[in-house]
Amino acid sequence: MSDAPMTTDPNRTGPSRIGWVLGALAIVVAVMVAATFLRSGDPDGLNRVATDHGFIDADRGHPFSIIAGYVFPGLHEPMATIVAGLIGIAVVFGIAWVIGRLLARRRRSEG
Amino acid sequence: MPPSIHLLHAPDGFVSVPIAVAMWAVTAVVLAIAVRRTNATLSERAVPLLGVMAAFIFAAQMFNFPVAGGTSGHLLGGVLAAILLGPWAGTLVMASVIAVQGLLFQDGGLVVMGLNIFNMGVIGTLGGYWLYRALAGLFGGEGRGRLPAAAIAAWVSVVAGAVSMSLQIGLTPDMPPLGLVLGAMVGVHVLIGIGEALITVAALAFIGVTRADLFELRDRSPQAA
Repeated sequence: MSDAPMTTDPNRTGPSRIGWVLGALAIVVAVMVAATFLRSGDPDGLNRVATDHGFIDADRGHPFSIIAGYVFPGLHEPMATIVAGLIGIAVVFGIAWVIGRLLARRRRSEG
Repeated sequence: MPPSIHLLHAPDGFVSVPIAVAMWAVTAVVLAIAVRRTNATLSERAVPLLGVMAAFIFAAQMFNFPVAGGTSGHLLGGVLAAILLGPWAGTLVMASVIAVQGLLFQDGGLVVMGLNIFNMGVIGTLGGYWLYRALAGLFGGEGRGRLPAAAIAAWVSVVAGAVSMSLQIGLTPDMPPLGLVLGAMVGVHVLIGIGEALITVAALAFIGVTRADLFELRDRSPQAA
């Protein structure tokens, strides 16, 4: 591959940018799928303390339920957790990208 | 496969409404500053990294790792996000993840979302980042001191977040005494913080090998160009 002049624009990282994002997201999905099968089933720190000290029942729950507990409704495990994880990854990626897009400054020197 | 993921974040009811509302106010002010500061400094080149970091932190938080005594922990990610994106953009990423977890996955209450963002996000992205920069300076600059400074800051951010959570629970009426909650929470999170440090260092080391240029996105402001 040649170093085409299109990489001279300092705002671009060149054609590899999309490839890098896709590669990174593949790693993220792999982490999520691994978490589905390999994560510890024990309660996490706060849950453990709340159980041991008798205030776990203070949990007032949620006024609504969408994909509660990372289990996609109507699917069997492991797909219920994997689909929930894929949705979560896509949603947070999209929100953070849009926030960045709205706030990032274009360089005035462009063009 | 393991049982369903235990809900990871504080639900409504663990903290009194006045404390939760006060923490929402503090968090809202921090987020407003974060929007302004990010708007002034964020490079367009960093935008994809915001998305990738949010996705990574979301996925990694699903991955509970075992610590002693039938207890697990998970990554928070605030120090990692701040090192790569800067403290303000890092704060916005953490808030995005915690908000989606609460709204879409019913993980973490809505009244207490402000304090969840503060304890798991802001403490790491602002306090943890400040500690990271101070330590990296002591260790001879970010180039040489990045990994040890990140490890210590990551560990401290988890313990500090647990202290903050304990204060909010301990000051809530009808909850166990503050000293009891504090001792139990810190005792567990001293161990969970080791996992936070290991994951943070591993992620930074991986980026250092594969895309070291990403370390320069944080300080690249348009004005400096």
